[in-house]
Amino acid sequence: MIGMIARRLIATIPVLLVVAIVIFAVLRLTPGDPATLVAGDAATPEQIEAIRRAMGLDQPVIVQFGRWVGDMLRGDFGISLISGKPVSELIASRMGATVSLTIVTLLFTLLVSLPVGVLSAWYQGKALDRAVMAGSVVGFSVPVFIVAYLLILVFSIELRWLPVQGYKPLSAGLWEHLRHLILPAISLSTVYIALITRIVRTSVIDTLGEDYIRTARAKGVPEWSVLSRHALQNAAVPILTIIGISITMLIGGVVVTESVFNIPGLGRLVLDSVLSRDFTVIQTLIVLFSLAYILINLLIDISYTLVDPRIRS
Amino acid sequence: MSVSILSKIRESGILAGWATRLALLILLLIALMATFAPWLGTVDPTLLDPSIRLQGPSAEHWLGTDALGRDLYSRIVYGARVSFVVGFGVLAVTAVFGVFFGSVSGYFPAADAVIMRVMDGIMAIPGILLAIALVAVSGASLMTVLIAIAIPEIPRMTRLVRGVILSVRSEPYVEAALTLGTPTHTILIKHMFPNTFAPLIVQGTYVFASAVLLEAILSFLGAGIPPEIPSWGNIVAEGRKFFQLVPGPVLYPGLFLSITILSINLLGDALRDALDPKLAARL
Repeated sequence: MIGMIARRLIATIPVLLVVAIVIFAVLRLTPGDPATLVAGDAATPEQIEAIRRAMGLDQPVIVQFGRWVGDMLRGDFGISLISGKPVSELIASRMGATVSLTIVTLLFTLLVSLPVGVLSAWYQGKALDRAVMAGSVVGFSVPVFIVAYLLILVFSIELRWLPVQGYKPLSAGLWEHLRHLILPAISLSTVYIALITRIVRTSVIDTLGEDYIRTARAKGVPEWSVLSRHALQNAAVPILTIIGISITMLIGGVVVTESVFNIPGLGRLVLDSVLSRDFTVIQTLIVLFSLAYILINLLIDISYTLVDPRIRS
Repeated sequence: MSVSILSKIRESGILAGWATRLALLILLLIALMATFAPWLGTVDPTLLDPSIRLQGPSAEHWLGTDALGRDLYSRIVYGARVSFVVGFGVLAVTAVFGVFFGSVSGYFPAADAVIMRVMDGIMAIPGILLAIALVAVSGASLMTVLIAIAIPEIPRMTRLVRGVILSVRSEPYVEAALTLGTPTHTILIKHMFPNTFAPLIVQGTYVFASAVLLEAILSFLGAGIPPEIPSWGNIVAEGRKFFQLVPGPVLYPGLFLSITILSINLLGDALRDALDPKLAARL
């Protein structure tokens, strides 16, 4: 077990290196000089040159890359080109909103897609199942910002139940905090509910054909228990896999949702720094998000062995 | 080979399903709309008229006007062009690179490890972030958006092609061709590529759908198509400021966008069921 984790951790190093190279290449080697962009239109050549030196852009590319990776390994993510604050400080101040939004979204997604997926599998081919499958294609196709504006139109503008946009930290009270996260979380979860419901349904249908399910039923185990304990538990691996793979989609969704609802999280920070061309912030954020994706998938791989003892050997 | 794909589609009977037929009809109509945009009762989609800002639908402006007094209907009709150009463009770029890297990776074990590690790395970077960063540094243009959307899609296409090549590599007819001394490129082109057509078509429809979606998201975020070109994402982006006053500029392009993506996804599901029974059974 520990050997497996160590091997997997070592295997992430080349992937992380590729991530760093790609991000570095994208931000440095594409046409468009970062120093000119940062300096703005009114800058003199001397000012641009000064910025270039301050950003280390006058050094050879290899040196720049080595210095950047070395600094990151020491936990130094540099200084924001726009606000002048340390990047780590900016990220820390925006982390809370995004973590809250993601947790509420994942909880809501599981709360809907697990029961709906199991029911759909149980009623396979019947009207309910077909409605769920049709709904999942629709949920997968409507862009997240359209879902968001439809929800705002109905629940904020017409019914006036929930705020149009904005964010309140947890310190403002649990209900205030959640009230501002309900619509963003529902918008963000639409795609995942569609995706995960489908996977739950297919996995449960697969396991329902297994011998042990027939045995359980023959023993007189109640049907809800067959579905929830036997079928769903054995369907855990594909469900976990799809949650891991869709983390990149979730990160993209967070950028859009935080923009629509004006939530001061990491997604907003990505967009703000991209629009203001704050390169040190952009590169750090992309590296951190990619690292999160890799680590979450590693954790999921490890958790397979917990939910499915067959994989342990 | 394409003949057998066509006959497979016909035999499977997917075209008989009303949902697939409706999806095809909708896509055809939107494609025609994009092609014949100037002749569909539209005016210049960039024509400003401050005296008629944010109006509701009327006989003159079928879907009303936006915050700068531009005709919303014309902007949406012209916006379809961007979606289709981006969809087909990304599909072409992804297919070319995916087939190239995938077949090199699948056929030459020496290159496999390197190519797959690079693809793993690109897959670990969230696609939207990579795309908006690319657009931000290279400047907003149709070409940049197209390439920015294509790059994150290439690894999945590469893996798909590689998988097919690996699985046919040990087939007797390939072994036979190898023993006969058939040149590598002939084996690849004559014996291996035809096997990739069916999965490529299925994956291609999903790439198309996700390209249309991603272009709209990038443009919505202000990191996509330049604002002077009407695209569905741009129209929503400009309309969002006045959403509480007039929801039309957000909802109408949103409706077109959703229906287009839904139709492509339905078509993709039908093609998957017809061409890729193994995958269809798993989902």
